[in-house]
Amino acid sequence: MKVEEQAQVPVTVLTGFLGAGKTTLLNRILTTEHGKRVAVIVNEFGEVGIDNQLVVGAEEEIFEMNNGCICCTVRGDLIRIISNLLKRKERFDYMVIETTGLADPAPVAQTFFVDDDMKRRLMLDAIVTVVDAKHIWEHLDTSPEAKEQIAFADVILLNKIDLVDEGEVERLEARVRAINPMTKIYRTRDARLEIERLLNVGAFDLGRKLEIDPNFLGEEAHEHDPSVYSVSIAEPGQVDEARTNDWLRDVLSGMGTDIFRMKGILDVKGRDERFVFQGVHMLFDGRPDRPWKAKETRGNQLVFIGRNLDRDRLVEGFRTCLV
Amino acid sequence: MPRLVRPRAKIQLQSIGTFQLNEYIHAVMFSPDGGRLAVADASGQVAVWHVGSQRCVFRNTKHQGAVLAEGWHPGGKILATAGEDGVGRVWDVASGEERAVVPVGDGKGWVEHLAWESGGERLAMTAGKTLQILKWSESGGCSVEWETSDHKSSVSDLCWRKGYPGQIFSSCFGGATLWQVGMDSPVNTFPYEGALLSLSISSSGQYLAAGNLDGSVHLWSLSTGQNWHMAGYPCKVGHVVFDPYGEFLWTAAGPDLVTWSAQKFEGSSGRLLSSHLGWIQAIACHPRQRVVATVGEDGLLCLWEPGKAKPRVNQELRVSRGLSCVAWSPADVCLAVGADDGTVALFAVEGVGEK
Repeated sequence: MKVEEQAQVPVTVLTGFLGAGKTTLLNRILTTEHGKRVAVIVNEFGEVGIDNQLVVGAEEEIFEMNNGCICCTVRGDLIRIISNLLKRKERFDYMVIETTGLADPAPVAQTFFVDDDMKRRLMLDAIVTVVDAKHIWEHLDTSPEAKEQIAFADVILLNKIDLVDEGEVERLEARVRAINPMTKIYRTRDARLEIERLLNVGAFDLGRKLEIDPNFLGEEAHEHDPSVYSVSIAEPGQVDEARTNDWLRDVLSGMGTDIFRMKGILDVKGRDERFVFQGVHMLFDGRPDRPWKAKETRGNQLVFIGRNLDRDRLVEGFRTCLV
Repeated sequence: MPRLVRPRAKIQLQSIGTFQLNEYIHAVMFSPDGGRLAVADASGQVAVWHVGSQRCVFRNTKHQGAVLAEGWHPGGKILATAGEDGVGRVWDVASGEERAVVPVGDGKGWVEHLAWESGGERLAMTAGKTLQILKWSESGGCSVEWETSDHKSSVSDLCWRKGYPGQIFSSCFGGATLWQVGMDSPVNTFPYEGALLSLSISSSGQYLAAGNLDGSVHLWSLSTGQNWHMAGYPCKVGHVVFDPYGEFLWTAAGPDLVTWSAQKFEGSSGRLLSSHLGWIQAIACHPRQRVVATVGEDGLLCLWEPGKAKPRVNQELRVSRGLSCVAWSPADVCLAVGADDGTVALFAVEGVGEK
């Protein structure tokens, strides 16, 4: 008898406002020679479509799993469509999900951690957000979705940089960093970017290296966004495992609704390995990682991205975990 | 004290034959007289085999994309199919003639479920949030009689209410609804804070059961309005089936099969029947003999006797990697199994219901 463990299919979630360049990027992914058979779920038919490629339309259906808690929402339409697609004999080995410009990325991401069938068969690889360098400003001030899509992103394309001058790109990049210090930012024209920087990034894979760029830690953002922002903590010293667990549990239950993404590397007393964790809202995943290297400066780095985050409370709370 | 018992007849599977289609088998279904088997696959193919002669008597590939659902008209001459191309098709199997092509809703979404009313006067189909009812007559063919899109999400399952012409249940996120064809507002609603995945009506017509995404089963009494919640499943409950013997509610969540007494829900606990190693894909009860079949992605076919903890048969069918669906013949003790690579296998089951 065999229960074959099939390899999990990686999923990239593509977000961004209408007109930012998502469709261009999708068509690029579909036409570039990368040897992968990609299945694409789009929010609207008609724009994307290349012979021989699997493109399916979906209409957003958000399912609350539990008493309306924002952290337990999933996309019912994706569960239904993907489980059908997975039945095909001719399997695809990569999946890209395009969301509408107004979609909340959280339910999409959570689908791959909460639904039992999705969890075992797919693996969220990264959230990629395409930003229109010329027109994003108007959205940043008026639309919470624009900020959320930046806050959730692992990879951001500042697209159409040919339409704005260098100074404006710098200003935009600083603004994006203020919202999300852990994202990778690429400046692009026509959404042109090497495919390796888009697919198989492993942003949600704790088994892959979790790196937080120290340049973006601890520093106060110059352009502080009052509604969506990040809190970074960089502290030397070792933490007590039990106390840290308790603190993180408190943070998640108390602030989970407001925390979009978090990542961290911890130096736990009594452990030779780094302890790494990440989360989306209240979904949390943490485990020991590789051993600390001899030349490495041990320490703790944590990033929380969200809204209404109480910086002082987070920092103070973290300090109580230090040995 | 030793006692004399009559040995139970051993149940044996006797292979009758196999057929091959192109892709994942979404549905197998015997005609009401048990003489023919209709099969639908993910490549868009529909085929009908004559069980006795093992000849293919009908085959076509008119559906674009997967065929997701099929259903024999109770008269046994007409077969309805539906799928990813957004339409339902009605076939005269003997002549091969396509009697009707009907878009469901806007015709763009997948048509995922269909069911004939027990007398065959109506055919229900769903696509997305739309439930559409067609009127059918041999002379007049198909016409849309009624439809509603008043669902909070795509419809996840549907079943006709026996003994109440024109009444049908649908399920989706937010609960189940009982509709009367022709009426805009529901006859009754069965609210639930979560997404329902599958529905079943008890043989007495008294209870409605739903398997849920949150790993629970919810049950309503149609006469008293009372409801019960059965939680504690390891994962989402994809299948719920009341057996026709009035004994048990059969439920499947991942590899776990759990039965609940259909006589008394209050205070009773579910019984876990472990046998499958992979996710269970289908549960089918023989309409007359007390035997229930389950198939899983592990390639196992299990046959269960209601009330027994161990399966009477637990056999790996070496037809494919995983199994996708199963159906009993209403006429004989004979079953068809569909697999994820397009294989269909027919078995006679010996030792069930024989004296």
